[in-house]
Amino acid sequence: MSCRRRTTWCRTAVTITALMLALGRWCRSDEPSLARVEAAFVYNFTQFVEWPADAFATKDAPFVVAIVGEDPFAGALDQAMAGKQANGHPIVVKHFASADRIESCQLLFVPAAQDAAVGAILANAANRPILTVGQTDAFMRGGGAIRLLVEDGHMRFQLSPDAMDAAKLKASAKLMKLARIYRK
Amino acid sequence: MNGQLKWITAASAVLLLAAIARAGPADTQDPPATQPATPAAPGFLPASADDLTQLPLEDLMNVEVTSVSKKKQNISDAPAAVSVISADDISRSGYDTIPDLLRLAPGVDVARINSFSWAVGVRGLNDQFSNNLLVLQDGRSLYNSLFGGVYWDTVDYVLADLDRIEVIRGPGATLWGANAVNGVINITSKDSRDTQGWLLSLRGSNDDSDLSARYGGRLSDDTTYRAYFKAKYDNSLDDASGGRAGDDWYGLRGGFRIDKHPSDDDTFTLQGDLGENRIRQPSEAVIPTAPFSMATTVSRTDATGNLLARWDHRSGDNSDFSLQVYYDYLEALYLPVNYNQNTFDIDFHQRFKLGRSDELTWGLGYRLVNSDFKATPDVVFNPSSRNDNLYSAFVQDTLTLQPERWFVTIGSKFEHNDYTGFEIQPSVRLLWKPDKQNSVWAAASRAVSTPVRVDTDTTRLLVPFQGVETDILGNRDESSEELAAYELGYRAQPVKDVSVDICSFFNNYNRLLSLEPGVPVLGPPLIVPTKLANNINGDTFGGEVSATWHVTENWRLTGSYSLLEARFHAGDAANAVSAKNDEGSAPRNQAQIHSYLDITRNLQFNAGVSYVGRVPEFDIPAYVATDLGLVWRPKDSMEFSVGVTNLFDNHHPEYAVTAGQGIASEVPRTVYAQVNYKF
Repeated sequence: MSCRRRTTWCRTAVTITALMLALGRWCRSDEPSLARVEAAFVYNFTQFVEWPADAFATKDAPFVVAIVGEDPFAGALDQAMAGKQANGHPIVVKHFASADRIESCQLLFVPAAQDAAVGAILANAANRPILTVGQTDAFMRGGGAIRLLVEDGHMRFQLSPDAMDAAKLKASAKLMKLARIYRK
Repeated sequence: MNGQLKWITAASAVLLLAAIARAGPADTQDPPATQPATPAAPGFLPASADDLTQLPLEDLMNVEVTSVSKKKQNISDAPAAVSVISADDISRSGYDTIPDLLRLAPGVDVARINSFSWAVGVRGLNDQFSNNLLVLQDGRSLYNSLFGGVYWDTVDYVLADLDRIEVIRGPGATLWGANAVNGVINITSKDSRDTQGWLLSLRGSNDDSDLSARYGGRLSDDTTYRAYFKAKYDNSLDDASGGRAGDDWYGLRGGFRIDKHPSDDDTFTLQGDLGENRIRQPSEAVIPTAPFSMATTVSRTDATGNLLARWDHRSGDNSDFSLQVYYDYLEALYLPVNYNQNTFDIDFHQRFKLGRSDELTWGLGYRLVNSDFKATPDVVFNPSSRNDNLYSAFVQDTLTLQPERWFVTIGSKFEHNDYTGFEIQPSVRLLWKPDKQNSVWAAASRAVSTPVRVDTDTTRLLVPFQGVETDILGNRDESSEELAAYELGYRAQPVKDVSVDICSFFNNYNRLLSLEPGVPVLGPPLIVPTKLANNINGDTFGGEVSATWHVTENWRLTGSYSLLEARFHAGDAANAVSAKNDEGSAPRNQAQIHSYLDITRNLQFNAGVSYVGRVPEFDIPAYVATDLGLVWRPKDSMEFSVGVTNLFDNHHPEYAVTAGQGIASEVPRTVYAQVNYKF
């Protein structure tokens, strides 16, 4: 390279590096884990779905997010919902060992590990204003409302309008636009 | 899953070459959780899960997640030199044209000739009409049968709706057939279900400006569509003295895409585009007296249209197939060229597992090209119109020699074309994965580049060449150019945030096209009749090194260096000039480094510096280009970007034209501002 070009190159490299150092953040963190992204999606579902007034016992009743079985989020869902509100009610995350132990809730998350019991779980939630969110095809076939799945490296979700109607829940237009509509 | 269908839909060579990843020891066992070679930065990512909830849902859907349980094709498993320019890279580049985007891939020579044409090549032998690089857009070949190259001004799209551009360096002949000699470029647009709603975009610049509108909607539960319109104005570039080169042009383009996903196992796609460009092309007119050429401006029209339909079907994890049909129209009118071609192509390929350690992919294809060259005073083709048939078949087998460690892929493409008859293009590839962080691959392949109409059919092609009026005569007995390629590559992830990819190659070329000047015919004017033959052979060798470093969660650095050494020998003294030109047609060294920084959730700062070495064939000096860009998203629906390319340079030349194709311009410093509005 000629003298002039080398100087230009050096000057450019130094300028850009200086800018980077001034503006960059130094703390290293983990890449976004699947669990954190899924938790963020579940949070968005609480925001863009409308529950009927009779879904809550009282005006101040919490919005209960229930997880059946072992927590697949390793705490990420609890973290995502901490201090947040949905439909005007404060969000509370509860963990239940099995389907029959679930008290009232507004959103029921069914992890993939619960596939064997998915029929019983969904039967329990049937015809109640509960948004069922799952991870497997068996869950959707059993009548689940929303399914989270990873496709080509990105998180997507299927939504069953029939299941939403049966639960008397209304999804916002934005959610419908981004969803993969599921029909049995 | 649908992810697999998307890979096949894109007809990606990476999918077929990376079939190795699928060949696991037991059907139920998942492939090793290899890291992607170039993980894309998904944009601003805060440290805690809490903050991820502040991302709008649309942005959350763009976050990249690696799911261990998916049988996803990983570039790191492909026994080939592959790089991917992602949608994120495209939006951060500040570039407005597809050929300029190709600069981001290592080892690709991109030289802008004037405002509407580029010379794009891989691993040498670059030319305005590089006939050894196969370029595909959504599975449709962009190769023209006239010169054997791509009219890059006709290759355009709403860039925000492009999913990725895959660049495969080295012969892709086994899968893609003839003319995929030095590389394959695969441009893929997004499925219409990922481009829903309105996108309005306006860009202003002293170089490329454009206005585009796209609307995506839903026809039924499982069917989505989009329609777009784009109007582009490309300003004149500079001439050597810094004035206007007078090569401005405008283009209009529109198209649609419909995708139907009735189930996870089937996808149907129908898409089409129409485009027309009106160009002012600075040119040289041939005149009978010295100096035999005169500067002039020619009016040029390039028109294109296409319609493509594809069906992808999957049966479980072990078998899938793809059936595709398309029609493509191209018309180029710029004296002395008056050419149009119609292409009809049908292609089928299928992959299935034979047992636990054997995976077979095979395919059949037929293409009919009807091309017509209307005689002009300086150029005559005989016959003026012809129909060419291309029949092709390929088969490829991937064997697992040792589960998760050793894989070998053997295959070949068999073709019959109307110029040279039967061609066979075999390839052998070996992949060794000593552990999850490293992989080594090696390949040996044969590839050919078949003649095109300008090689065989011209009875008169008067162009000023080397300062003399030359009549280039086609040769009906022209044979294919041949390549024997030997490649070696290594990929590693030495530490968690760094990935490195090293490729090397040795290419042995035979029967390259040569120009054989004959006895000058005394005029006036003096004309040198020149015949085309296949009398050049030689070698190129070199390699590419590329690396990506995730310095922090919000800052990614990528860099690459490529080396090319070329030695060509002429069959005799008459070809010496051609051989020398081939040697000097691409730079020896190229390097680039890019920085992608997310300053805040709404603000990005992107920078790149590239060095391109000297091009000896045209005595084009080396240059350094610096690009800076800022992207600001004040709201979910609005995005503003501003930037500058060639910051420290008033203007510089990058290439020169092929004889008779006009006059080259110089690339100026460019400043741009763009607004994208989504709703």
